Amino acid sequence: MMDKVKICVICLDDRPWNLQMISKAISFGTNVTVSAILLRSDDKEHIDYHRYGVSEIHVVNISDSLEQFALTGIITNLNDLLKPDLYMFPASDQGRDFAAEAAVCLKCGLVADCIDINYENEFIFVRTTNSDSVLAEIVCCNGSSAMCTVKKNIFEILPQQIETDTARIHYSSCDNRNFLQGRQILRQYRNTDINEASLSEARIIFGIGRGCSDKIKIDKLRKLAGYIGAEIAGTRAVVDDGIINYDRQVGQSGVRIAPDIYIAFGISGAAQHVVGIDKTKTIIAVNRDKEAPIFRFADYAVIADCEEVIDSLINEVERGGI
Amino acid sequence: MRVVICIKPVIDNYSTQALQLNKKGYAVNPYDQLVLKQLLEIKKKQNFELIGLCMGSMKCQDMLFRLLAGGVDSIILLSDMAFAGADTYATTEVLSKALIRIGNVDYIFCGAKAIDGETGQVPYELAHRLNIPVINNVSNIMSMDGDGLQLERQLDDLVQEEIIASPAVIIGKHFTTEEFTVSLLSLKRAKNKKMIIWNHERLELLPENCGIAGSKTKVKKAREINRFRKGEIMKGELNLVSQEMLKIIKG
Repeated sequence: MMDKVKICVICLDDRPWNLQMISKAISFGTNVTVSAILLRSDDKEHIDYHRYGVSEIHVVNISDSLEQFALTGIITNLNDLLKPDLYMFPASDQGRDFAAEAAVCLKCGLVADCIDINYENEFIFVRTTNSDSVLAEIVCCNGSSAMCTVKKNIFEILPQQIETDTARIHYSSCDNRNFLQGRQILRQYRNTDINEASLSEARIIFGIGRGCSDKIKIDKLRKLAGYIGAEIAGTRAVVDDGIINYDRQVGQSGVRIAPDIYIAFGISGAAQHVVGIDKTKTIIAVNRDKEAPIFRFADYAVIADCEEVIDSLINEVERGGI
Repeated sequence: MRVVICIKPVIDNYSTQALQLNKKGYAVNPYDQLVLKQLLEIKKKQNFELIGLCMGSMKCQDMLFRLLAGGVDSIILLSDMAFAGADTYATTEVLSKALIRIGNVDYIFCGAKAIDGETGQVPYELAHRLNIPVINNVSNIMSMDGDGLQLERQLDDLVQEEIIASPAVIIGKHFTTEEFTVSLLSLKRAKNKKMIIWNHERLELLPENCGIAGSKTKVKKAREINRFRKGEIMKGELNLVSQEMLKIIKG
């Protein structure tokens, strides 16, 4: 059973994300009152949130599409007015910044990157840590409200509920303080290096680690990849070494892949890398070191020298093996 | 110009290199390590004071002496039993007080997040406590001189070069597993450099506002996510193993 609970959803300009948070907030049941705070300069497309169950919409007009502005004044006013039990922010860069500001100004606990929220007399936030290898349940304490940032595409958008225009919409303005003073943009250009499509669509991917990163081995591996139709990716370490481009880095801070086959050549198996290959159907690991952690995350383990394995594979393919 | 880099000590086996060397102890959080590496690179060409600020146990000192040997001018270690178990709120309470005590800081650099906790909240909360701007997604630091700080940001597929006036909190983007090599001689010399240790009294902080007592979140439960697979060993002559692998590839 749940007491009367008030939830405040901070909405930025990503409509699906806003609706995902609103839907999660609504799902706590009939005892929950959900308010949406729209922090944006152009609000027209968002003022239908009451159709998704929001009872009050607060539109905060921002005079310019500034990357940063001071939220403190507005958040203090709205907090006094709404006294929410929970604040939800999107876990985007801007959401993170606003959440931090709200936490500091209202002296509340903040849980980052939630993947679930439960309620048992208090809000219990679920998040992962240590490169998605640990699942933690966290609660907020010693503060008037709980606060969290919510990951994108975790919660489903529930269908519209209400057909009438009954929501109360309030308008206020923000005490814009231009943080951009003394800041100068010298130049901007598109980063043409980014090309994740080839990895996200590949059926077979070869992963390179430090144990397979010298030029001779790479050349042989590229030859084999050409024969088989595989894409080449790698760990952060080989990106550091300049062997592959950043956009082909697989793992926590790079790309997450989901091919049918992933063959890890000379990869030790750090948690940061393993999290990026988790969705692969079949993982084969090739490593000389039989203690390499990667073997525990693989379906098949080949304990052998990478170069010898590559040579042998090329040999078999050239003999007409594939 | 005075620059502070915030360093989080993490358990050593998070970095792949360290894993291979099977060392024990603390290492610099890889996200902080990349920012530090970029700063030390610029420091070779441009003159500014670089202070390393670290909250952690006294056991971090070995790791920190390596930073002094690598070119950091001085280290301030915030170490106190009262600081233990801090969440982002209690952490930034201590860090902000330390930064105020250091004084006249032009830029505060932070890694995007810590590789263990991964909240990415500390730099933002720090900036708001200090009431200064925060610049995120910094992929490269280009120069730092009298005209200000010039840097490169990566915003999705847009690269943006900017000049940032002081003061500001600067947040990196990527991480590195590369440790810098430090000669024995420079390590020996580093022992003469300054390692300052501050506790809660020195920062005029109440213990109840620090560490686990001053935190506003607490972990109720934590469990490891099991990603292990069967790890079936493919044995036999290499050519047979290869044939077997090709069969799997063909599906």
